[in-house]
Amino acid sequence: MPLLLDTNPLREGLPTERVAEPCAVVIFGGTGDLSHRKMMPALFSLYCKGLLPAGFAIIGVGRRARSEDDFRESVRASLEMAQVLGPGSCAWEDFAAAIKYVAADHTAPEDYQGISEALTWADTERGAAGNRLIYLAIPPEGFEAIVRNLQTSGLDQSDGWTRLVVEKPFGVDLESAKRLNTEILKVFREDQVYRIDHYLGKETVQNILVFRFANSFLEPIWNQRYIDHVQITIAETLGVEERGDYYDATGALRDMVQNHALQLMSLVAMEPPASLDPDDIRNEKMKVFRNVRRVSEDDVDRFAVRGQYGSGFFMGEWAKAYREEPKVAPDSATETFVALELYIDNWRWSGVPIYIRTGKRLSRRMTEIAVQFKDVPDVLFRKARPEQMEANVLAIKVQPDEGIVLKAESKVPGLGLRLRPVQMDFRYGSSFGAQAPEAYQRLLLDAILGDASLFSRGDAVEECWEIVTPILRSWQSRPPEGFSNYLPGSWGPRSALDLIERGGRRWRKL
Amino acid sequence: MNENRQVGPITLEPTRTDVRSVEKELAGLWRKATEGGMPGVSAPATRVLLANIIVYARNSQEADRASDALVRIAANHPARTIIADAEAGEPGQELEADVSMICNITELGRRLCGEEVRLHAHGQSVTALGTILPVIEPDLPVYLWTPGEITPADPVYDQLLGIAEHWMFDSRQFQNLRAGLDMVTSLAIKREPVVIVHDLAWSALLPWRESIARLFDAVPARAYLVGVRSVEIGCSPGPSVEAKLISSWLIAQLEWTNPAVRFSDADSRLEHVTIECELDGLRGTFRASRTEGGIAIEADAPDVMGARSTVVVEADSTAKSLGSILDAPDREWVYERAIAAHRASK
Repeated sequence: MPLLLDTNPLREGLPTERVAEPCAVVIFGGTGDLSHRKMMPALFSLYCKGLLPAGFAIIGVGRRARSEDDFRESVRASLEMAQVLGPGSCAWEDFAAAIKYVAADHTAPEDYQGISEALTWADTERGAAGNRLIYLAIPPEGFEAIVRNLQTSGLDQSDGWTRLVVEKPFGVDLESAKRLNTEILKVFREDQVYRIDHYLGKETVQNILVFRFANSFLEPIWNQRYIDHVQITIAETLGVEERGDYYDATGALRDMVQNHALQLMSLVAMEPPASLDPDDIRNEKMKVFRNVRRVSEDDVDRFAVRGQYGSGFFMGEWAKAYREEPKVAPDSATETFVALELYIDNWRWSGVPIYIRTGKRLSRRMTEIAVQFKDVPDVLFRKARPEQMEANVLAIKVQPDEGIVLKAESKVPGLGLRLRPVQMDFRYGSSFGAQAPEAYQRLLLDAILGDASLFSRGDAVEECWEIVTPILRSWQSRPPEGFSNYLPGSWGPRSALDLIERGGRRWRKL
Repeated sequence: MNENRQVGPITLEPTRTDVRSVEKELAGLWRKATEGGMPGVSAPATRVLLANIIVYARNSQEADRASDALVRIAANHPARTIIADAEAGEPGQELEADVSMICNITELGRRLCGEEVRLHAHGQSVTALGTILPVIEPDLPVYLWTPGEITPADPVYDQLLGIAEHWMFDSRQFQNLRAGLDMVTSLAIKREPVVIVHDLAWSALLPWRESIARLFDAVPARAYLVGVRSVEIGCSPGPSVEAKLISSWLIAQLEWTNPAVRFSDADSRLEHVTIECELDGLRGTFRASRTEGGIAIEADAPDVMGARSTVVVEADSTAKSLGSILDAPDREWVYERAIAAHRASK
């Protein structure tokens, strides 16, 4: 049989069967927080694992003039801070040799000449072969200018592939998202655009599809006949820290619900895709978004609750109210907490409420998706369990302590017949030795490999904006009453309890 | 660095027991562990077993080394390990078991505990199915590990492979590589159902295979693979098992019908692999060579960028190879093809 060379025959059977092609990673916002805290450690970790090709280059783009050595040193410091560089790690020198810095104002077309020269260096000196991953790690106001200037300077074209990675937030509302999509798609094709949602890079999130579709016992009961409701919780203990200006213009609905929470919901609710091809998966997610019942602006208070944290003691220390945080307006109407009740109007989910709650300064840092099954008929064990038996719950824990927990009723050992709920606990940390890679490692590698499965498609982003837009509009049109309305360390305002209790349900105790 | 999560294994002192009481003793140890029986350790204990690992040790030294390696991987691969020490004890001594628990504290403060059952007796009773089967944890995969040389006349392999899904061995321990691989093929690969084989020597070669594969990832470099003229493998005089496995792998994967492989002497076991190619009259040299702490790769061929890189290689150890195998226990078709190529070679 003749040797087929469309793949490398020596790669067969190796742990790294997917190998990245040579490429240059251009980071706009190269000196920024995201670049240093997340991207550089992720790239270095990939490099150390041998997952970056020999011909790779990193081009950091920032406004400030600084020497290349200075930039490299700052990268080195970030790697040390992230504890990925140190004794026992791979060599810094080889990685450093792949780094270049370009001082450029991303709004100034003439500054793109420097980037062009750096890309030529990447191709000729590093062997990047004209492949480019352009990463927009800057605030969204700059996205359109960069895309325009990339085109003007001819950097949207090359002998190899060009991909654009766009950080969230993708727009601030439906109109701006549409406009941004239009502007980007004037220059790049949809298959060149990677809209990042780092939640999708988390191991447990990826495991949702495996858990649902690689096990036969779940599928028959994964529908409105057996599931009572779903709760998605994304809780943070932190306040807005140094991001007051960004957050005050954004709020929890835009910051967490429009992207992360709805993406998690889609993975729980989607139908099995025809294949693992990125577009097959994204088509199924898209169907979920389309089927989410739209809330009319008049009905928003029935289905949505907003809150803002006040001041109080939290973990032994006095915590400021949101309105006292730096760079936050003292009369801010921005919500730091959201609870929603959504419905997916399709065959599988008809009538099943999906409750979403997310907020800052909540009791604990925790992200989980809990699927609560319907109660069993209260007939057999009425004597053994005089109070209502607890419903089965399947909780997918995304962070921290990733895993899956199933709550079930069990007999208490002894001569009598008493029942008690027990938890069957699968934890990633217990069952699999190696720790899951950081989400950015996975997402960066996927983007370099051209696998868009874990990235949002333009139409899905717009659909998600459509879901939250009536709520945004309603809230914008009516100032909130009684802000601040929850204490630090609580689980949000009283109205969030009312929202779920109206349906005879309760939030999980987390 | 981030993956180094355990503080270190903590072993509850082994308890000697009659082999019929192994489960009872383990239950007692488990109670002790959860009730604070480990001095200075307060983390909640979780019993986690991912596999049964049966060690067939020919003598106590092998058994000790195997136990040491398994304790070192217990944090990431907690298992019930059953060590059958075929030469322990005095003639006539009754079959006994030392039962212990091995726990590791994770960075999240949980204590993950696996179990070790060490069987002693003199003679065949220690490896009899009637001894091993009752102490296997049900519904978990069974790995047989033979850490030493394998002896063709020994019926124990066939017997134990009858209850195992996986067989781990180290072909570096084989006095005669070809005879050993013949035995592996007939006892395991051609068995129905097949027993998946894992060679620790092959696992230890992963950085070399990765480095050599890396040389040909780029499309222009890959084209040279159709014109491989010769391969030179720098290795210790012999050549070593590693060199033979690398050579057989290249022959099998490149479907090389007329292989020209030269083994040249070097100071260490496997020093370099140099592949000479010719493509449309253009000559290219692709080389992977050992450096301090890694394997450096370098290509010198027209149209192939000369970017060098180094694959970091952690110190080879039995525990590391075992860990890699348990992480990816699927059938290794590439290995099976490589050993078939070696068996077919003159």
